[in-house]
Formats: sequence, structure tokens, C-alpha cells
Amino acid sequence: MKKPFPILGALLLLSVANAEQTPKKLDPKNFPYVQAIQKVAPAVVSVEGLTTPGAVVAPGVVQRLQLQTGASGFIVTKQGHIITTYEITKALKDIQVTLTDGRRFKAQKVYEDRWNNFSILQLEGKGPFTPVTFGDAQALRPGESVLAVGFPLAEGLTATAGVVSSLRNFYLLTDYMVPYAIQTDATYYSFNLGGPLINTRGEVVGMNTFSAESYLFFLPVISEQILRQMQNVNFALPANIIQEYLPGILAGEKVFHPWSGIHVVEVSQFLRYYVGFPPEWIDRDVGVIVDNVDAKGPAGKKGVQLGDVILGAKVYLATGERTLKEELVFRSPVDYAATIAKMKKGERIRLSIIRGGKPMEVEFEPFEKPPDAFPGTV
Amino acid sequence: MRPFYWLALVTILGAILLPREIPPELYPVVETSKAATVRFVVPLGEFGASGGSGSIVSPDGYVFTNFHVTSGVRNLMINLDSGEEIPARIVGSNDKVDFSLVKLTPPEPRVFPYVKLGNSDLVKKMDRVYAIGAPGDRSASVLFSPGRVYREWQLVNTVTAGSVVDVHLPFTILNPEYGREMSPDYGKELSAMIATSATINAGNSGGPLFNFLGEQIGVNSWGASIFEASHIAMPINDAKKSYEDILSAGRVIYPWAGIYIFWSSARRKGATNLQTGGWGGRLGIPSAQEILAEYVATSIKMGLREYQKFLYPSEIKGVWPESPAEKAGLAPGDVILSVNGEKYRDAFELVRKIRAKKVGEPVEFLIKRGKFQALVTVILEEQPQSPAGAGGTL
Repeated sequence: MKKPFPILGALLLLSVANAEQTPKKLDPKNFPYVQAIQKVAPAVVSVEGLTTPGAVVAPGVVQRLQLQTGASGFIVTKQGHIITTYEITKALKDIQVTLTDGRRFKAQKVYEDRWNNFSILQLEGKGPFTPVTFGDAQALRPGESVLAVGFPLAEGLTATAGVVSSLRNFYLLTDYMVPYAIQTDATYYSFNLGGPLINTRGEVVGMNTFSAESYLFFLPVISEQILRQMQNVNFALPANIIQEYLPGILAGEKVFHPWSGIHVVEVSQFLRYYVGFPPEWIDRDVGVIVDNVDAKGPAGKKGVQLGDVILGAKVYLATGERTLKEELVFRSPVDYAATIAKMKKGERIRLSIIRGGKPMEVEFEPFEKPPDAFPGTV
Repeated sequence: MRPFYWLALVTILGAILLPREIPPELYPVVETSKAATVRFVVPLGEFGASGGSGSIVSPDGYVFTNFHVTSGVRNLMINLDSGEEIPARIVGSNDKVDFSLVKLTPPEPRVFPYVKLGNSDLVKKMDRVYAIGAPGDRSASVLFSPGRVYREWQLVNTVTAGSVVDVHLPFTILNPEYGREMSPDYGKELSAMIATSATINAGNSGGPLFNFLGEQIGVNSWGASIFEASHIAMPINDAKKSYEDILSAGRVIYPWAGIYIFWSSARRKGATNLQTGGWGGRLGIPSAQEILAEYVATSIKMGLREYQKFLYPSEIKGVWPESPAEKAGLAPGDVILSVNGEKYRDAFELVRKIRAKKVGEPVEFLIKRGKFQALVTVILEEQPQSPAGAGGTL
């Protein structure tokens, strides 16, 4: 104990030097990504089939040739139900499903949800089938690592890595609002659509649904815009929606897609004066303006008109007596669309409207969105 | 005291003094950096501007962003992470480094969450980084719409991750034939940018680029839409320098000798006549020519053949009248062999060397004219605002 400090210093230096010279030996097979992919791999499938000639594959795009194409998908039950993307499989017939272990099955469509953009297929044949494990999509945080897994045309498992960009209420390609859709920068391409989006524990948190790039590509816009397209802005259908609907669908129920039949846009400062906002509301960033009304819709039937400003709403539960579920104000069109999208069957909504400077209220019950709904109406 | 106590102490101290370990997942740091990232709101009907992002750098509400985000906007409105909209004003900007300093002006003074600024000199290739911003803009959303459907396309608080692909990237748009931003007047000072694979889309501009410790190391400037993994950010040290200059002097000060190293002054003058609108001119929608210009410029930026023109030694293409260089006797055609006795790799490094000096500092150029070599001392002056101080001068 006479000279502790030189010894201490020397040891300290040694320990630092040692730590810098010998990095941790990592076995690539133990990387979390590799383990996560291996965990989900038995449940990932490739869905292939022949397109129906004359099918509308995208808004304004008619597929005239018969082609073999496909998507990815994943097994969700032990009975061999698989879930995949509606956008690609809607036009397919003679569907062949290949598992990653090489087994091939024919598959029948059990259910198609055109608005939430997923299809459920039943494999024809005997198992055993390994379903995926679902994770908690609502517990995801921006920045968390995720992997988009696919099995393109049964050519080998693929995975692209990225992070959760955000969780936001967003419109799917089908014009339908999904609350808390997962936005990610993991790259999507044609054949990993329908595949699972997994976290680093190998749990499925979403289904790869669409990327802004492919969205633009399908639109009949000038080619300049394609050059200015957005990269790696991709959306996944959150797993909690699949989990919520799946037991009902397998029991023969149908998914309820609430629809109010109007399309709303933001109110600019100029419009605020023009439509006669109450003075105390004029500087507040509140309100959306009705841009389109589908006369078949519940709002249209109750007399909501073009140019009405919707400030907020009260939502009542579907029970016998009127019980207030929530009361909210709309700051953006997305707020309004998300409120409608979160409603259950039988719930009623009471809108606070300003028409011609006078406040009024309209109450209606959203009903199932019809296939011929006016584009953009929520 | 027994020796193993010391051993234990040493182990603990060693663990503390080890290099800071990079966390494998970034969501713990994202939370704090998201709170200080803001979005520039484009008022409906204001077509001149596209959306953008920014980062709050001080508790009293100074915001870093790009010049091309704030230019053309009359009333700046900033959307905080919490959703609040707060008016703001431009304190100072410099189009040459594409930097704007904006101050939030809330009705009552308040304390804002702010980012921790890092040191971009420490950034290396393969460092993992993430960007936060609000990609998408309203001008795009107008064209997005099938059947007049209008969609909100500013995706606030989008996190994208990647790694540093290159540092000190000369990002100089060399084609003078096209609109304003394509001319050499624009972007010529961007000689040491950070290239990342973290996706930057239109609307991410001005937003922060962080390392995995949550320190801002760059200001996202350009998303090269055509090539993936080549998204460009301005190093934070350049932004910090501009910030300090604007606060102390009201403008960004760079030393200047008056030498044209990339283009001759005659060609540069011709280019200034082409300042016709540029991006966000008419409806905020680029024309086919402008798109092509971006394509060409990006290709050139990446092209080795074009880059080889700027390798050592650099020839002086022009000297501005009455500039320090002319006073010292430099003339077009002179070849710069060294600066203060140091060689350089390419013209961009030469620019960086001069930029690192101070105004009033003498710089010794070793010049080759014909068969002769000479040492010429140039006393640097402040780089004037346009037109003399523009276009690839040093």
C-alpha cells in the first residue's frame, strides 16, 4: 500500500487497452436479425397465381394479358389460414402457395377485405402448419428496428431492414383510413408485399401493405413526378387489426368498415372568414371543410352539405341509453377520418357544424362502406 | 488494503473510461430528438414554397434549417412536435451555404426542448445515423390526387435510419445552364457534405441528422431521389459557424481571396442571367427541364470523369477585379501548387483550406506561371455578398 497510484494507473491502462484490442467475438448466426428471421421463416409463404385478364390492377390500369405473378404471405392459424395482400391477390386465380420448407399447396380465398387491403386464404392439404407469433404493434416506438420479410415467387426468403418511422393514422392505397398504421423505411418491393413486418424478437407486428413509390407508379400522372417520387415511405397494416378481426372472420362474420360518405379538407385562414367562423374560433387551428358528399352516405342522407365546416364531434356508444364515448375537435382531415375509422358498429356520431355562419348539429350512424363509394370519401 | 479491492476499482473505472458504447437500438434517443424537431408549415395558397423541417438548437427557440426551405415564404409558421403552431421570423440566412437561422416568436416567452449539437469533424464513414423530418409537400399532394382527392402528404416526425456513406463529399452542382439552384451561384460552398443512406425525401430539408448518441451532426439538405443511399447533409460545424456569425455580426462571414477556381467569371456572369424562378417558381412544381437538370447535376456530382478536372493542381480560372488576389498580382492561368506550404488533394480541399482561415489573415500561395514559380502572399478579406463573392470563388 505504498504506491497504489502507479499500479492503479498501469492496470487502468491495461484494462482500457485490452478492451480496445479484443472486440467481442460475434457469431453471425446469433445476430438478433438472423434469429428473428429464422423464427418467422416456417410461417412465411409465397402466393402465386395467374392473373385474370381484364382485371383492374390499379386505379386506371387494366391488365389485359394473363400473367403469372404473386406476393408473399404468412400463416396465422394451425388449420392453415394464411393472410396476404388483397391488392395483388384480388386478380389471381389457381393460387399456389409455397412454404419455405418446399411444400406446395393449393389455396382457396376465404375472405377478402378490400378496404383494409388483406385477403385470407385457406391451404388445401394436411399440416402441420406453424403460425406466426403476433407482437404488440401499439407498443412500437419510432426508431425501433423492424424487418420486412418476403418469399418472392418461392425463390428464397428475403428480408430488408429498417426502423419504425412513425405510427400514424393513414390512408391505405385503397382509400381507407387505418388508425396507427406503421410507417417504416425498410424497403418494399413488389413481392414482399403481403409478407410480415417483424420486430427483432421475430414477432409479427404488421403486414407489408404499400409503399409511396408504388403508389405513385400506378397513378396516371406525368412522368416527371415519378422522378420526384418519395423513397422508403412504406406502410404496414398493424398486427392488432389482423388479430382483432381474425377470430370473427374465421367464425363467418364480416368486418365492419365505418363510412360517413363525406370527404373533408383543411380550412385555410381565408376560408375561415369566408364561411363565417365564430370570432373565438377564428385563430384556433380547428375545423375541417366538407369538400365532397356522397349522397348515398349516412351524412349525405342527414343533410350534410358541401362547404359545411365541421369543428368537432361527440361519439355515442352503441348501447341502449345514450352514453358519451368521446368528445373531440378536428384539427386536420386525418383527425376526422381516424375518428370515423375507429367507430364500432351501431355507434352514433354527432357533428358540430357551421353552415352560413350559424352553428348546427347533425347526428348519424356510419354504415358499411360500399365498394362504389365516391373516391376519397371516408 | 487488499489488492483485489484495487482490482475491483480498476475494473469499474475501466468500464467507465471505455469508449462510449453505441446503443444497438435507437428508440430511446429518438424520443428526445423528436421533441426538438419542427416542421415548417406551408400556408394553403402559398405556392412559392415547399414544406421543410428544422431543429430547435437553443431553449429560447433558435431553429436551424436550410435556406431553400425559408426562401419565398412570407409568413413563417412552425409546427412543434406537440402539434402547436408558432409564428417565427428569419434572423439571418446564407444562400451560399444553404443555411437559415430562424427564431420562434411565441406570444409569451417560454422554454423549448432543444437538440444537443455534436461535432461533425468526428463523423466517420460507416457511423450509424438517423434523420427526422416531415417528408412530402403540398405541391406533391396536389398531383397525388386521383379524382381531386386531396391528401395530407407531410408525414411529420418520420424517422429514417442508415449509415454515413461519405464525409467531405464535394457537393457542387456544376451545370450552369439551368435554373437558379442549378447555377454555380448555388451550392458552391457545399464542398464538404456528409452523404448518408438514411432516406431524405423532399420535405426532410432542413431537418436534423443525428448520430446514435442523439447528437445532431448534420442538416439534411438534398435527397438525391434517383440514387438511393446518396442523401446529402450539411455538417453541423458549418451550421454552428453560421449561427455564431449571425448572432455576433448579423451575417455569415467567410474569408475570400477573389479567385475563381471552378469557372471563369465571364461564364459565371452569363449564368446569373439564367436566374429564372427555379424550383417552386410557378406552382411549386418543377418543370421537365428542372428535373432533367437535377438528374444531370446529380450524375455529374457522382461522376469520376468530372471530378478528375478538379484534382491537384488547380488552375486559376479568373480573378475578381480589386479583390485581394488581384492586389497581390495573381492572374488567370496561374497554377496553385501549395497553400502555406501544404499541398492539397483537389480544388474542394483547397476551398476548405481557405475557408478555415480568418479574415485579415495572410495566406502564402506557391504559384506556377509558365516556367516560373513564385510565392505570393494574399491578405484575405471578407467574402462580399453577391455578385462578387459568388460562384466557386475562394
